[in-house]
Amino acid sequence: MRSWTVPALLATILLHGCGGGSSNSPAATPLNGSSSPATVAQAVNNVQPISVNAGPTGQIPNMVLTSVTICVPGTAACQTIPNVQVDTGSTGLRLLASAITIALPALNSTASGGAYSECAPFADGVVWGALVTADVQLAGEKASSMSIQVVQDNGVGPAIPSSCSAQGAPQDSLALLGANGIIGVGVFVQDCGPYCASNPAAMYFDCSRAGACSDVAMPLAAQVGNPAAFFAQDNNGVILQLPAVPANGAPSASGNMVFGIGTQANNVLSAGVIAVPDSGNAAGDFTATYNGVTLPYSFFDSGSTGLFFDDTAIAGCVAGGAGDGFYCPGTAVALSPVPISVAISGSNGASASIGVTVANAEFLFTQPGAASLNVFSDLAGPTGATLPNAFDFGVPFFFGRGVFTAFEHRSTPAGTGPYVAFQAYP
Amino acid sequence: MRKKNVVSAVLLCAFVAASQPGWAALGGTPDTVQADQLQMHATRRVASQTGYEVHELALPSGTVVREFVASSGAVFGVAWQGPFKPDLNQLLGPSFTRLVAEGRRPHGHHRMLGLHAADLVVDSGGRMRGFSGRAYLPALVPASVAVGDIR
Repeated sequence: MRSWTVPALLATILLHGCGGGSSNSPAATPLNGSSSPATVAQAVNNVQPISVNAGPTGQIPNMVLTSVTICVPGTAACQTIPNVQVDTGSTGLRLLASAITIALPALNSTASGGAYSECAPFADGVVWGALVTADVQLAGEKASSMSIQVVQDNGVGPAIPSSCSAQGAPQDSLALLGANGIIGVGVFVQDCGPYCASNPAAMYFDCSRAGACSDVAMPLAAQVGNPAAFFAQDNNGVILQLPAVPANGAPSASGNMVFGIGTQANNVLSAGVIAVPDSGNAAGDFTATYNGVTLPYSFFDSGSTGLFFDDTAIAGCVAGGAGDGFYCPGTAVALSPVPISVAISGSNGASASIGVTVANAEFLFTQPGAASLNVFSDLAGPTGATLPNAFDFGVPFFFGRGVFTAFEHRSTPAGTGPYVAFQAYP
Repeated sequence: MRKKNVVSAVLLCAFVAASQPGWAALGGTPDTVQADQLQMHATRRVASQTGYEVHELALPSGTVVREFVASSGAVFGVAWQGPFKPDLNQLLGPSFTRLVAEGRRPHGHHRMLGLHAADLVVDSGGRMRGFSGRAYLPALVPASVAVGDIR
């Protein structure tokens, strides 16, 4: 049984990252629940089905996945690629080269005539591969002729530059990605943003010169972008909606990725709003408080398969065991749920707590019938020192909620992004 | 015999120096911090703590690298935080290949990577535009230093 706090159910919580919002921004104002959404002339289908399961490798719990349709720009030459991870913690569409069968045009440098490649950084390594241009379609929405990355998993293309491989191990296979690709729909419109527009940052490369790749700056318009921010409408944010799942887990869960915030009748952010002030960092994070400790780098993340935070009072699972890397409170022969509460405070003076539950991961993974259970609302683990001063609200947090990600610089009825918010599952 | 060993060690050092683009900091000497500073085009400031110094390198990208130097002269730890990951090959030196090997093993997600061995600890975490991490060599950490301060 999950332990929900009342505010988590009744209030819509609005959390501001930095980079746009300030404490006196419009988003700090409580939202009037009766405000009517701005309507577009012709509403399109803005609901993309998503599912949660163990992914195409069958090895990773709580993988949030969807199908993405890519097309040669301006044509009907399209392909739908299944099992693409939905990630609110990154920006940009990256697809395994081996999964793409249509011929997408390379993104070439007008200066050199060469082809651009990207080194996309992740905490566990890098994603290396060429940039191509595609139309990207989800539900009835379409982003025309945008930059996406082809993850080099087939050895075809320029060799990885040393300044890229120096950032970590290439994540260049289905086994390492755990999916056919990643669709990053985080708060940022571009993956790198203004810094890369004027500086080489070992992220964008011009691979024109005799097979060698040069570290280059990249204009914003050509950077790998958030597909949901490039739709013709419903482009100010995204909502992930997932139902609650049983405490012992479930084989899978099905929900929706709804595009737009306050643009159609089905994506209204309603009820009381609490805005959290900027935390002074650049990653769109917000401040949470857990066990009296302030955690200014906290975030909601559909790309994290568990809740990750540090609490020495909760036992870690036995190293090398089924639950290695997660928490194992109580005994491994029972669920042993531990309710915890994380506080978030708003610039309007209000505060709320988010209630989540930590279960014994070894029990979750070894209980009777565990082989068919892939989805857990109470899976959590320590960060060690990997995420200092952060509470990572991963996929377990998303179950039973609608989680809003408002894009930077985009207007919504609740204020200008970036911000994140949540309300009870519809 | 003794003299021969010394000569071998000198030759080995010369070979290692020549075979790497820059000298790695972790496990190295304070000179290697300067090599890192040059390679990363960083500015440096030094803060003295009891039993060690913290050399803080501010990179043009906004990322900050901290190198922890014991009074013995050994760089026993490094840490980073900022919008981009630093050149970890440069920063970790010979230990970098072990981090890469860890990253090549299938793992649950892309927000954290930890390597916790008896002789090497590396923790890398974060998301695009917000990375952090640390690495240290337990055998070189002075007894007076809490590893939690390597950050």
